[in-house]
Amino acid sequence: MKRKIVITALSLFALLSAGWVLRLAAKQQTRKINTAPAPPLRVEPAKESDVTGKTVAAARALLATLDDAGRAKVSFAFNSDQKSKWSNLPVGIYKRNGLRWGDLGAAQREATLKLLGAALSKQGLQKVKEIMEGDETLRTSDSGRGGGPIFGRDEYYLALLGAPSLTEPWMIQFGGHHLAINLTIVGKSNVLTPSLPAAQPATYKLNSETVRPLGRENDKAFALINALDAAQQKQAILPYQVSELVLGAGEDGKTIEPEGVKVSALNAAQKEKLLDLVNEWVGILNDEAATAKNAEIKANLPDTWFAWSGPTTQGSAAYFRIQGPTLFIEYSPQRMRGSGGLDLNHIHTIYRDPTNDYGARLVKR
Amino acid sequence: MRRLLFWLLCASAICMTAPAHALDQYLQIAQIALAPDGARVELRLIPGVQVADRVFALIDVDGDGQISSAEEQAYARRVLQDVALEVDGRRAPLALTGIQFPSRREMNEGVGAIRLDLAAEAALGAAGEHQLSFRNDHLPELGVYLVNALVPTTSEIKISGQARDPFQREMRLRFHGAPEDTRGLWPWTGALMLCLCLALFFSQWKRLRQYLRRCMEIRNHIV
Repeated sequence: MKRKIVITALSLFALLSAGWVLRLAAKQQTRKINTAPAPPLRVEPAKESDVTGKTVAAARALLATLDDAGRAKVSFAFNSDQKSKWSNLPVGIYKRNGLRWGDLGAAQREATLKLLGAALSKQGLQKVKEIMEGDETLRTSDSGRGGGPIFGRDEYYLALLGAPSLTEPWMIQFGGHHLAINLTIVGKSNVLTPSLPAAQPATYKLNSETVRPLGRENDKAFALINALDAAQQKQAILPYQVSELVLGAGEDGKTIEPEGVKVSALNAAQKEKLLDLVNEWVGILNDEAATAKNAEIKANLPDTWFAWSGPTTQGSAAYFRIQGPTLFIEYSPQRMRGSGGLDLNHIHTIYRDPTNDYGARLVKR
Repeated sequence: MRRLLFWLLCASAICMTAPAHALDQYLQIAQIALAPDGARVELRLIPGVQVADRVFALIDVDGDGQISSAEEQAYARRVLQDVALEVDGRRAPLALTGIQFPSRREMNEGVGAIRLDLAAEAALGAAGEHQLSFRNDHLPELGVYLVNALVPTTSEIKISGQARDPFQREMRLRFHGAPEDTRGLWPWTGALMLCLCLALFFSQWKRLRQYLRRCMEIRNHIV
């Protein structure tokens, strides 16, 4: 009897010890999992006939128009710190590297536009041009601020990180004041995050036509918030003012706690409006890659959030944010001087993928 | 002449930037990260062009036009006095863990960010519901505030609610602490119980076999 008690006690002690050790090991493992990045995505090699193939050809054609000095100026190593050197600030305040649009000859400009045209959608390229023209308007406006080298369409820069390739990762970076296009290409996959399309003035006249580079974003967002019922609006509208992007330039690798209304609470028509709004950012990219990204965002809709700050009347200035597992969009009208109110004519936006900025899930670590 | 040209260019850049960005305010961005052993606050303070001189004067107390290391430390301590962190209603003292100051030129251009890294020790991962509040009262007459909580990088903490005042000077977070120790206990307790049952089963195997045999004999007898 005594022997049995001893054996049972020893067994219990051994079991408890083993359990404790295993539990500690599991704890360490859990921590690793929680801090680990999202799992890598499969990379499919590109063909010359698909979008990547056409973009690679356009990039090589552009490089062929440059002399050695030009090629050296535009080329950076894929893993160089140039990757995160972008901003909404104007040139002169924030130094950019690469080829300056104003220094390019006609053939080189045409080749650059062909490259952007191959990589982006038709509406994406149009948006880029409108943001650049808006900056030109800012430079030449007769309100006494123009004339200098800080603003204007000449102050946009192109950089290529890595050699254009059908298989190896490379990146197109194009930006200046209120614009940062960061397109990472790995095989067939094209990733547009992080990118920053912004505008000032957000409405201007060009050849007597009214141009609003971010007009559809604004109008579709107001249509969405007004399509929500009172209870949904109560959840979506944040009771505080937001006067700047939370995760703008320089905020790589961060994820904030989501807020607002969960998209799972929206009906089918409201969800369609939200997806249509999201496509204003996703659709800057070529149609092939944008379709794949939109499908991913649609699949993640139940875990996506929509938040709003400001009035809901069309024509007023309001901030909004759409946040999901693989999506982060902010639209932020800037504060007016002195008044403290938000300015509808000066807008910053950001488009990120918290799991895949700069193609992090496609690039071998 | 070149120097004059440089300063003229700088001045024109500032004049032209002013309309492009709201620079008459002191943007103060706080990002709060929760961890099982405490909270970390990243503060970025960006004075706009039109208030840069005023903020610079607060830092450059001896007025020599330069920011010395001692002046950086003194200003950081001043900011530290203006911010407060509370956990479960009790003040959690914030300590300065990092300081980064921009150049005078960057501040003049309205793009210089003063970065202060703050940290407070607290058992945020302790089991149960908790509350954390952060308040920034630094230069409210100039300040425009943004405060956000980052998604915790551990599953031991789950944020369940957040609230702010209309100007984002104050943020209150509700979160749940679930230490791995507690959460991991149930499966192991289950495994232990199973082992005990098996140990009991095998230790009583002889008696059980005898009982089963007797049952079989009775059954055969009846049949």
